[in-house]
Amino acid sequence: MQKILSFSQKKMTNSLKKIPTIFLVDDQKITNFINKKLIENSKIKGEIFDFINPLKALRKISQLQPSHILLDLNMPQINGWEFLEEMKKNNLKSKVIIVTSSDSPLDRERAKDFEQVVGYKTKPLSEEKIKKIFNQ
Amino acid sequence: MNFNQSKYRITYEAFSKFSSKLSKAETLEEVSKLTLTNLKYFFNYHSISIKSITRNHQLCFSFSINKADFYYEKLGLNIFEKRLFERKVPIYEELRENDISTLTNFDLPVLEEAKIYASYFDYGSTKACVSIISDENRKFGMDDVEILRLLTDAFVSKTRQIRLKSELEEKNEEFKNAIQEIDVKNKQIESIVDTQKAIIKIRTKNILDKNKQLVSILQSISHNLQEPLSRILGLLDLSEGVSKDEFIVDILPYLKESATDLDIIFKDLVKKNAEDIKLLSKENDE
Repeated sequence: MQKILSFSQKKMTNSLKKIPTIFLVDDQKITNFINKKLIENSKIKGEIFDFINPLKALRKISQLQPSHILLDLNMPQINGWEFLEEMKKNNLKSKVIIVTSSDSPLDRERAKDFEQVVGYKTKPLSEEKIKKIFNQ
Repeated sequence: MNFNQSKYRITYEAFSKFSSKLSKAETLEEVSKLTLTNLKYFFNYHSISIKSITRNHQLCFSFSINKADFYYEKLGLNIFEKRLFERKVPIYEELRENDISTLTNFDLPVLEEAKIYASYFDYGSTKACVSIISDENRKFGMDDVEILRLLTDAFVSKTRQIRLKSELEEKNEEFKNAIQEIDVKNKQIESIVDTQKAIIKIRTKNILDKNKQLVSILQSISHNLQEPLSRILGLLDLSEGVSKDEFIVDILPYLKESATDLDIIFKDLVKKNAEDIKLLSKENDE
């Protein structure tokens, strides 16, 4: 038990030293472009990977260990909820910020079921919203 | 006790028995039979007819020595009855052979010095005419008038009671029928109302379903339009901090693409919703 704990602590310190990795997951490449620019403009330090296919993003999580994932809900291959379920199943702990054009209270409520979700933002994002996300 | 006195006593005893039996009679048939069997104890006669007349109808009873008959008659008073109605004075006179057949329906034996006695009685709304044919062999005399009066009183009162009772029963029957009819109509109305309620329920449900469909159409419209619109807004937001060249190279093509997407989605929605609305209104017509 102690071994595992020390291992994960070590890993966390490692990831803090490193430049954080950020995933953008949205089937619209333009949205990913906008969000990438916003993050750059906000002077957030991070290596950004954008995915228009959420399945590809899922496969890359364990390898690239992103600190943050900006996740769209409405996508054709798998939707955001399925993406979150997959993360849960595979014990992937990256922080997720849902970024959607739906402002439905039902969706906001559902987001609370996933502990890795730390934010719920409606599109379009702005520098201000980006700063809030990453300064949490 | 002389002959007359004993004759009276026997007659009144007979009448008293008749009277008590009469009070128990329930039909005109019974009254007719009972009267026929008792008449001979009251006085001598060959034939007797009792007509009770009201505004609406005329009830005739005829008796011979051994036959009885009764019927309702609309009109038709014989000459003696007409005289009685005019003068209201009893008639006691000799009867011509030819007149006999007009006074009775029965075949009478050959009469010797036939006589008629006829009398008028007034019971308010009911009037009565009684006529008796007698002769030397069966003689109705003036001393029989008193018992005839008693008989007529009892007889008319009883027949009137039976008639009123049957009228009342008829009315009751009509009344029951009317109530039944009202009942049937009420049930018809209830079933019509129930049908209407069911129809309203179904229509209301249809309308609610259509409303739900419309709401979901609206939600899909707003969601589909929001996505490219938010891209355009995001790009515009970005463009504020970039150079002209960068804008033209990096942002403008995306703006154009997003605006085109918006246009496509918008046109598609307009087309699709026009079809949906057509479909909805068609369903409503059915």
